[in-house]
Formats: sequence, structure tokens, C-alpha cells
Amino acid sequence: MSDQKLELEIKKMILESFHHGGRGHVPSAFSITKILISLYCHYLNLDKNNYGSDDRDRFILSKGHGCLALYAMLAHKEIFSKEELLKFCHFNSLLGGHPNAEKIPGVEYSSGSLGHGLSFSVGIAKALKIKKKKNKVVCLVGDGEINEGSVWEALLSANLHQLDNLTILVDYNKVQSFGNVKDVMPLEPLEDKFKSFGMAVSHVEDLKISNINNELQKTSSAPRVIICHTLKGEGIDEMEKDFSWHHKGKISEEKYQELVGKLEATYA
Amino acid sequence: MRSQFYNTMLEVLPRLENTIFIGSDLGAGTLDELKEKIGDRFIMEGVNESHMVTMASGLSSEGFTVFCSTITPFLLRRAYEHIYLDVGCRNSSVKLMGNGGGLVYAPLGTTHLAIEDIHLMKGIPNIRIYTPSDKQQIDAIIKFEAKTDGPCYIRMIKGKDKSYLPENYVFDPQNIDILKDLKDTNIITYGETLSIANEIYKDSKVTGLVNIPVIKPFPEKEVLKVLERSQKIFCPEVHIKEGSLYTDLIQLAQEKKIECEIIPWHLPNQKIDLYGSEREILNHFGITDFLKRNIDE
Repeated sequence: MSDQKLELEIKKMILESFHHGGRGHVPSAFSITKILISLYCHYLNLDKNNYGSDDRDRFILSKGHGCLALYAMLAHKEIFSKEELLKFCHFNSLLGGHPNAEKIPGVEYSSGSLGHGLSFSVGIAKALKIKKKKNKVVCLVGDGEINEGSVWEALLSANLHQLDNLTILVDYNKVQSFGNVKDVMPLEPLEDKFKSFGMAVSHVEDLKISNINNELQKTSSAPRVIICHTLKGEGIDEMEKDFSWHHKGKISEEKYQELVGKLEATYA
Repeated sequence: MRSQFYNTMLEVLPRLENTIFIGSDLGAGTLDELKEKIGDRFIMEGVNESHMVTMASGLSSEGFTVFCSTITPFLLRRAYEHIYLDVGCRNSSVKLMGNGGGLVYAPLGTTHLAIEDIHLMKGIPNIRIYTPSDKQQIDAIIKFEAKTDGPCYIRMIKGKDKSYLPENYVFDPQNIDILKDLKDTNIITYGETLSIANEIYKDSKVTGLVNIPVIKPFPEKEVLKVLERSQKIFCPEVHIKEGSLYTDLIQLAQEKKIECEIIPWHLPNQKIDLYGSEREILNHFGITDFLKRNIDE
């Protein structure tokens, strides 16, 4: 399956989970779909055969509200059944509105409260250094998330320990819950901020999966930050433009079919 | 007690390769030997307690037992959500070593006090809460925790020379310490108030004295024996009433329908606006009067 076809499939799975669950952060999940395809299909040593073993690479989804994309990817990788997606947020289901590592196979970290995942990733990366292991550690943070002070504490620490085994991906879609990042809590000059914390910073401006792949393959002696210029809700026009889609409740069957149609048209 | 903590770290951590020490900008000059002995398993972070706690959880997720140490209020209050989610909910082997539970840092003011630490920690899933009262006890508790999975909080007090327990003391988390034989009237306490009670009651022939080194999980079976034996119990603590040992005693007595009068002494749940030594502040709030009044009875 081509990456483009896979992107459509993952996004349809996201929509289907959302529809069955009656709620969810769909635009945030669409925003990171290309990144997850790049990570799981082209970069990380992480699959259904090794997700529970020490030789796996570690992926930490720090912006836990993007979990619908992670769930769809883990189901695609056959780490759990696709049927689980249809029970999203149901009572006693495997999959909920934020990921639970103690419960869900293939989920490395229980996120949901923003600003924790990077510190956890720093701990993992440092532990792997102590054990002289070469596994990669990748942490995906949101742009709204990096309002949290603990993210910057973690960056100071990543620099202190010179964690060249740590890659931080920023889902820079420039929209947070209340509105545009530039209005809610401006981040620019973002690259300068990360550089001043000792990070090796690069961008993926043209967000093609092949471009993310190319950037991931590069190495650095300093911890890396890759700022991915994403599009929140990418693939469905109304989700790209309407902030209120950030977290939505139940939609009608008719509306669901309409959204699926729009997705298919985008990726036709 | 802090010096004993470091001595025990020095003894235990070099031997156990799966252990890590992590602190936040503390102990200049006192930790050099530990750093030298355990190499890259010695981690000194900056003044970033929230990050430090979650980083400790990440380290433990890779199989390490992590001793995480700094001044109690910053370790617990500042990093509370990090402790709740990344240590408690995750059941991480992170051992929170709080320097200065209660009023230890009284001369430094309100920011440095931790008079609600036990209350806070009781709300953390999976965590064990220890209140060691002397150097033998903290040494034994650390050695126990170094080989036990899951999280704990150890409330460290001051007083490096305090010693109530024998040199060959063996720690059992389900046990309590009967320091003076039980009578009709007994004092149940821990930490600094144990020291004061011991000082006042050391020659008493009518009052027993009990030290409680574990608050959670509560050593119910042994405490129950004390309640059953007692007509009256005094329970002084360097802590607020909410979440205190006293509330555990009352709850246990009610559940087991034991008729025993339990009289607490605790600090008020308010900003402590006083500087001075721990003892001066405790006296200001009446600890010595409370204990002496009861000895007179």
C-alpha cells in the first residue's frame, strides 16, 4: 500500500473510531497522521513482534489527545484488532480518549496531561545511555503543549545529558484549543528558542511523508528537534478551518458519511 | 537523618547496579563520594522538580530503581501531578526521598514547610508512605525499598544522632515499634513528636510509647492490638489534622468498634507565619504543654 493510500485508510479509521465513540479529537489526529506513518512504516524498529521487548525503539506520544491516530496505526500494524477501534470510549473498552500504557498494547506512555511526555522520554533516553543501548527514542509534542513549563525543563535536561538518541517532533499546526497559536500563546521565534536550549533544530516545511523520512534519517550529536509544519484537521476542509472541531461530540450517520466522502475526495 | 540517608545510599547503590540516584541541585560537597562510586547512575538535575520526577519514572521504565531526592515541599507540592500520574498511576519504582518533612526547615519560612505531606501522599495510588524516626529505621527502610518494586515516599526529619531502635533493628512494613511497654494510656506517634514525647515520658511508669514507621499501607493488625489494649491514646504529630495518623486511628477504632479515647495534637491547617526552630514553633502551638498536661493527668 502506498503511503498516500495508507494515510487515507488511517484517517478513515480515525473517523470511524470517532463516530462509534461519539467523541474525539479528530483534527489533532489528522494533524499527526503523516508523522506516524513515517515513524511506524519507515523509521522505528517497532512492530507486532517486538513491541513488548527491549529491542524496540521507543515512541512517546506526549500530546495524548492525538491518540486516535496512534490507535489506528497500532491496529494497522496488527498490534491489536481493528475491532477495538469501534469500541472507542465505550465502557470497559481497551481504547479511551487518552492512551493508557498500562492497558493498551504498543502504547509506551500514558499521556493526556500535557507537558509530561518529554520528561519521560528524557528518562528513557538517559537510561538507554547508561545501559549502552542504541535504541532510538522519539517524542511527539504538540505546539499548544509546549506552553507547559515542564517541556522547557525537559529540554534543559536533554541538553545537559547530550541525548543524541532523542528526537523530538513538534506537531506545529499553529492552532491550539482556543484558537491560533500566534493569538493564544505566541511561540515564535520557535527555532531560536529550541536552538538556545542546545537542540539541533530542523524543519519539515513541505509536509510530505518522504520529507519527514529524510529528516528523520539525519543524525546529530545534540538532541534533535524536528519542527513539522502540519495542518490541523488535514484532509477535511471544515476541520481545517473551524476551531470548534478540536474536540467534538456525536455526529449523525449522515454527517459521518459526508465526512468520509470528503476524505476520499481529498485523497482521490 | 539526612546524613544517614546518604550513608545508606553510599552502602547500597554501588552494590545494586539497577539503582539510580537523582537529585535537583542539592548537596554540594556531600555527594561527591556517591557520585564517584556510581558514575553515570548519579544524576544531578537543576531546579526542575516536576521534570525530575517524570524523568525518574522514565528511568524506572527501563528497569532501574530510582532514588529521587530533594527538599520535601518542592518534591511533593510542585511536582504533585507528575507524582500522581507518572509515579503512582504507573506504579513506578521511584523512591521519593523528601528532605524536611513537617517543620524541619522552619527557619526558612512557609515555602519550605511540609506539614501536609502525608495527606498529599495518601492520595497517590500504589505509593507506600514511611515516617522513620531514627537512623536505624531510615537505613532499614531504604534497604527494604531498594529491593522492592513500586513507589514510596520517605519523610525525612532532622536529628542525625537520634536513636530509639537497636543497632540490629530489622524492618518489617507490617510492624510497629513498642518503645515503652503498653499501659492503659499510650502515646502513638512518629518523627519529631516521638522525640519530644520520649524526652518527656522517658521515666514514666504509666504511659506506653509507640512509634509508627509506616502510614500507608497502614499496619492495621499491630495498631489494632494497641487500640484494644488502651483506654486512652495521645497522638501528637507535626502535620495538619487532615490525612494524619490520627485520622487513621479514629477510622480503625470506628471500623472495629473499639472504645478507646484518642486525643490528637496537630498543627492548624493554615499558613505558618513564624520563623524560628522547629521546636520553638511546635512549642508556640502547644506541643510541650499538651504532652506535659497529659502526664500530669
